Amino acid sequence: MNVPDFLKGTLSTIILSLLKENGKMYGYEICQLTKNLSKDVISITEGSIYPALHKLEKQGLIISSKKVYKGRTRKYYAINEAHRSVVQSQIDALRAFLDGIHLVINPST
Amino acid sequence: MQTDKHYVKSILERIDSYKPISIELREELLDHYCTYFESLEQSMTASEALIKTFAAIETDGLTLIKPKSMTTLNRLLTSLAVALCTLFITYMINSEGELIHDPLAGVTMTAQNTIQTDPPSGSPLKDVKLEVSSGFGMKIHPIHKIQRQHKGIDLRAPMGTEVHATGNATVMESDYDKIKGNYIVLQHDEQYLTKYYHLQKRVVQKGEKVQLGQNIGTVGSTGVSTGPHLHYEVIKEGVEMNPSNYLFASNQKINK
Repeated sequence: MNVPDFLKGTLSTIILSLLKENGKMYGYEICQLTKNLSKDVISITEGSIYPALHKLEKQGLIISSKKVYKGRTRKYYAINEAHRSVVQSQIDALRAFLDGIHLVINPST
Repeated sequence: MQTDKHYVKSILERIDSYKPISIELREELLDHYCTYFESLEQSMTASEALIKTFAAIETDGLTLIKPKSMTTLNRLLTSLAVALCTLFITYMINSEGELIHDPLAGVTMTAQNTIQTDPPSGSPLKDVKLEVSSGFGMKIHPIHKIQRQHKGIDLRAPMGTEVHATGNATVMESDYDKIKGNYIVLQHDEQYLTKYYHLQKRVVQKGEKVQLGQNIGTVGSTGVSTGPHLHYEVIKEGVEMNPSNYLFASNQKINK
């Protein structure tokens, strides 16, 4: 029941996956898309998304660019093509982890 | 376009009222909440949308932003701010450990131990008609008989005449030497010093704080002097000024 706790380890990979699938996005857009795709199950707060984005940028996995929108600065993020393979393996690892969780908490069959 | 900018300003102000954040993050959050506001505006009034946006700022994330997400620059600025505050507090507490300066009051204050911004004024000799025996400027030295710049004025007065501080000041020096005799130097403020030479007696010591009109010594003839007189100097920012210009009372009150 505690989404933020579950998100702690997975948020950055979620971001990577979204950016890989949808190209350049800005923070608010990422939050909205997550909310919609997960049918409101996963809502990312401002307090978590921006630190996560900045950390990923620092790691070099994503790169940012700025555009002026309605008189303010909008920062976009995209996958760093140079490290595409690293990004892909991180996403694959999360998928494998989730499959594992699924097997553990849904014992049947 | 004017109305468009209004909500941006309000949102930015609200963001700024929270914990200090880096400039980059601030811009990003501004964009975030403005976009949120714009999405709300489609189904409610601007003021309702603004209230909801403020509520989102409150509950969502700003209070959750932990210090470690601050940039190094921000950390540096915070430590600098802390250092400055410590220095400021230290400055405000004088050597006796009492808080003497109210940061909210103006510069000119009525309390005793404050920085005076008025120049020295009034006569340094109590109840004596001022007799300038030697004025300011280029003179022939009476004993050494050579041309010298006279850095102050000589006021003739009977031996023992009380000498007064011509302003609220701190005693910088109170000493004796062969030329000046018994002498006192007062520091009035950042700009002004006054000097009193050839005194018979000194009644104040270095470090003491004196008031305008307070007795600091008596007229004598110590040091190089031909007769009882007070040699009085007024120094402004390291430059000797003509003390005659400072002999008349200004709007300073004489503390009793």
